[in-house]
Amino acid sequence: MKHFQNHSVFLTLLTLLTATFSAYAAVQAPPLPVGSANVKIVAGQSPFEQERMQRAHKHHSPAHDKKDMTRDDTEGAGAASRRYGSDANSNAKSVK
Amino acid sequence: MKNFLQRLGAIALIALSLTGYSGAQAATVVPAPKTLILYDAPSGTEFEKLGFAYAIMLKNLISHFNSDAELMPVQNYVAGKIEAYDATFYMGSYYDNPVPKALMVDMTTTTKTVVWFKYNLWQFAWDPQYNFAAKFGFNFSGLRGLNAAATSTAPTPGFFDTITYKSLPFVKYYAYNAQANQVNADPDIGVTAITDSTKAMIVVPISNPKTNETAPYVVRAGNFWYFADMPFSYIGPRDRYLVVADMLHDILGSKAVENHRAMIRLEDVGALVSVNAMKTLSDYLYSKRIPYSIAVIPKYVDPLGVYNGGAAQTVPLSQATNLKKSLNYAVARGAEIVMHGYTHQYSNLRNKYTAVSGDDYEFWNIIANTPVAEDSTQWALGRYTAGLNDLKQNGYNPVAWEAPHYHASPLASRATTQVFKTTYQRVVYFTSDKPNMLATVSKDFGVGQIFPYVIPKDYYGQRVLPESIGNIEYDISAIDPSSNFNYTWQDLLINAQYGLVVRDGFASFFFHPFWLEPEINKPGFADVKSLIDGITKLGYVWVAPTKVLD
Repeated sequence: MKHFQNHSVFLTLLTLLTATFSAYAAVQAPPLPVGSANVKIVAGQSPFEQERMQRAHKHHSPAHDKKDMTRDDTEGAGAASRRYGSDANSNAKSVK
Repeated sequence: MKNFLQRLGAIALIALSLTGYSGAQAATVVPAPKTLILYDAPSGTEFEKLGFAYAIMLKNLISHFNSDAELMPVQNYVAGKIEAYDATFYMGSYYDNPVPKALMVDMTTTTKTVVWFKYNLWQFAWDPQYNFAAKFGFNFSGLRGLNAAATSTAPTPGFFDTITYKSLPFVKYYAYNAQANQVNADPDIGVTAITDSTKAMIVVPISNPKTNETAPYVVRAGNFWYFADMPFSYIGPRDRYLVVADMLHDILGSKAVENHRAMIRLEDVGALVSVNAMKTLSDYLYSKRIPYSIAVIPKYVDPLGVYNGGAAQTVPLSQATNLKKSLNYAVARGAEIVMHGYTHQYSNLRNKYTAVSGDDYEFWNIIANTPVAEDSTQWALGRYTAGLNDLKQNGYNPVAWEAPHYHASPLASRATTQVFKTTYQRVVYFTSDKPNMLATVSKDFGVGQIFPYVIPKDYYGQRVLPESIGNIEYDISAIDPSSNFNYTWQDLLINAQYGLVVRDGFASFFFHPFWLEPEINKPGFADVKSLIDGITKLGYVWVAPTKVLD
């Protein structure tokens, strides 16, 4: 028992000395909060913002199918009847 | 929603009046501070480079203050180094990562500014040799995170998630994936308490709505600042990230005054554009004397014929009649041109949607989450130069660059600086130039960053104009399954109100002209007008990209 105590004291002193001269502190860390093992941290933008960045530029209008991009779409048959802007929306389904 | 907006608007106006907002340009002429960012880099772990990612983000923000911050793993700190800098930041991102004694010894004696984020303060505060509480006037008692473990039956246990700053609540991101039993959040905070109010003060509080507890979020003790969490995770336009973005003015001693500018950019304008939609928008903006820009895709490619009955299609700018007519009309009314990719798609790969211009990624393989096969400085420069030549040969002079989907490889981002003086975007930053995102040890991270203000020189050397509040979206999944989300003009207006907490914060957004096309049947034009009106009423001043000073 005495041998154990002496050994224990020795180890304690050794630890203190090591801590004193070590480049790093010898402090017991606080416990991690409950549930930490199931927490996933994402650096930077949230998944919500990441998804918006992916989606932000992808909107396909039916008007794009086989559109002749070399011809002025404000000219020719049907162009005049296509109305743009919020006040056009009530007619939207009938103008195509 | 209306009441909430009115309340936020009132708060914003009160805040502006209290801070003496005059609409004048910011007076930011102060000596550039010399700054050091120390970060955790635990060798041999999966997260060895996570701290570096956070450090890059902080470095970018610090660039706003004309400081080119030095980045260093904390274990490389040597005694006395702190004295060579006006401000030193330690980003404690890794639980119980050893902090060098030399750093903590120096922190107890220096008169230079020191900022500590999140973890590992216990190594400083609980070691008696530093006499922490007596010197700094506050103590550290431990960590708090989730109030209880999340489960499928109790998926939202709550945590300290609400930071109150300039009278606005900043609620931290939280999502629970029951299938994986995974919490997507960053709930941990370091809990501190003031022990001597003559030495320390709570600058910003944080609350736990489920338990009705409050705790300090930012504590200041003279030259020493402590942030209870890492405000660079799960960021968004209403996130506590804006708190640190604004507080850097105080930390670095800027003389900036309230100065709020707004920008609008018409997005993804390529060969498919509707002339009528562009004319409608140009006429409106011009009539309101609102400067604007247009993100132009110079070359249209549909290699798989997805929108052309299966036949591959290419339309160069010289033949894109609708595009040129739209741009000519807009430029005559003051619009500025931003180059938005060369083709805004990559090869004949569905990356990730159709391989059609305007839909897909160009400078990143989003399917494999790697750089594309050809990725190199020269390859990127070749595409930039080709796009610039197309634009210039057709009479257009782009004033800035914007990466498709705001996502480019490190080499492609660095290469922009050789041909563009300015970019105008959000940016994804990587922890190496050849990132390996799948490694089990020391994997790389790619982090998307939103900027509330101008970044004169980011980690890649780019000058970045901000896009800070997003874009209007409508759920049109009936005609396009991937467009399945509503993000309203009111959402953007709330984001703009949050932007006011940053003393020189922008309200910068983009809008797709195709929302005016009749086939879509959405109130795009009415909504963008409402948004512009709302932002104007908040006191923002509309500016063109070329008129933005750093």
